[in-house]
Amino acid sequence: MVTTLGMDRAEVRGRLARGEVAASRAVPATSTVRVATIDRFEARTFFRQPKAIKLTDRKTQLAVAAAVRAVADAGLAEEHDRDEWATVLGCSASDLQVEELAHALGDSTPRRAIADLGFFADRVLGHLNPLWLLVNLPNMVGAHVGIQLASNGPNHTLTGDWVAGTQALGEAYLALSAGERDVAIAGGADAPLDPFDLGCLASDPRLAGAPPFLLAEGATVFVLETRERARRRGARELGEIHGYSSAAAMTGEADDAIHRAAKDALAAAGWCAGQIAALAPAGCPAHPFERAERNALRTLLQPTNEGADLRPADPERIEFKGRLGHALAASGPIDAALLLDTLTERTAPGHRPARGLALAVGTLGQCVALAVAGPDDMEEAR
Amino acid sequence: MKPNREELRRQVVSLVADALDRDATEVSPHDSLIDDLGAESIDFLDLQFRIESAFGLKFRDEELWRGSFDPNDRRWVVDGRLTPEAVERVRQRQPDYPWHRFAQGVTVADLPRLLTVDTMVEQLESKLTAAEAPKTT
Repeated sequence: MVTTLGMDRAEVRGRLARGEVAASRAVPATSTVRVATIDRFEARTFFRQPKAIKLTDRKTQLAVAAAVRAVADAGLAEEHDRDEWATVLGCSASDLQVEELAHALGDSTPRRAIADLGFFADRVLGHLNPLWLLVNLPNMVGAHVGIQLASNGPNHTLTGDWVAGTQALGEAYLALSAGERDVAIAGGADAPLDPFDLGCLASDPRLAGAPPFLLAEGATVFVLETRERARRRGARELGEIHGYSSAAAMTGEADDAIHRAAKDALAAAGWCAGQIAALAPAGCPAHPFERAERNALRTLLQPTNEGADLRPADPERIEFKGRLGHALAASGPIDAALLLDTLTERTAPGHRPARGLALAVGTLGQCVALAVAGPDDMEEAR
Repeated sequence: MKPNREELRRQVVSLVADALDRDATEVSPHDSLIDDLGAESIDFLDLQFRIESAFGLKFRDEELWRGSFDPNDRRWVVDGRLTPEAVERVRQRQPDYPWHRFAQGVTVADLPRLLTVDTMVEQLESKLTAAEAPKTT
């Protein structure tokens, strides 16, 4: 876990418990976006081949850091046979390195760069470092995590906007459930603090009049293992994924899509909404679909006859994006980690089943839901 | 005005160190970019770009990496191996290179291993000299 409030779960949890908020700065010429960065991050610490750092952008460096820490935390640092490990990372792929492109194009008018292919090629090929493309290819996040970890199985980078990190966890979970692999390095990373991201958000009419959107960088990566493998090697388990679903509101209402994703994830887990002890919503102040998500959750949690006796009054909300900042595709996995910690704390006899739901919602209404459980629930399953 | 050889060498050492993630004190002008400094093919693209940007010029094709002879010329290469005359020619150009690495002779495939900071400096110096020379019609 690499966030604006620390680089391990205990530190982040502690600082959140003390009420800390990530330091942020205003963005010139807009009042709708503020940015929070990770200070004192040294990529070199995490790269076994430091020369590769020049081929990486910030989000990839954060992803490598989170992945290296995850593998160490899982007790797998000394497991060298990694040919079957899958790597599934998500990033919004929105942090285009426009400064370098702008520098390469020089003071030409945008129209000439578009209309005159020869001019564009000369400027770009002549003034852009040939490594630029290698840094900016969308699949580099997964690729570099795979390289640095020597994780040599299937390697995927999902770029589904803000939901990509949660989607990566879900897709890795499906691969493990289907027996395709028994270990996956999965999570999300983003560092969307470049002019392209800031400009897009600052000009998004849906944010007008809302409180400032706190944009952040970060990464969180999990080691997912099949239950059998984890227990065979005596792994320290943080929790379990029981269900995953995604839906989209490309042509319909976001409320409905979010509701469908949540409902289907719970159904995949064999749970009902009344069993949710804690919930990590996607929304945060100024999130374009915050209201839609509220409506969807109201529908999901409204009283029904079925399972009404199990329905808690109100599941605990894990809502820290307003303090950590929204790290786009990394926020879902960050939320999932904090949700699992909350569920883990609910292990005392007599507590509600430690089951939770993590949601991610993208800017176009893409929705992903994960049904997760803490360790006490796994005890029931043994 | 074109910098002198020592200044060029200092600047190229600095660019090589940055590109290959090394401290400048670790880079010797006679180090093989591949054998001693760990350069890979992708690093040669990066190095060329850095040198072109730093000195405001463009190298054509393999110009920056050109050696002492044309490896396609049969006078210098026979069956993929450098002739004794070719080896001697390269040794004269790079007397400080650790030639014990090629006790069994030098093949064409070995040629990239002969590239050093100084071979780049030499090509760069030629390029800068040519750029300074007055144009004749």
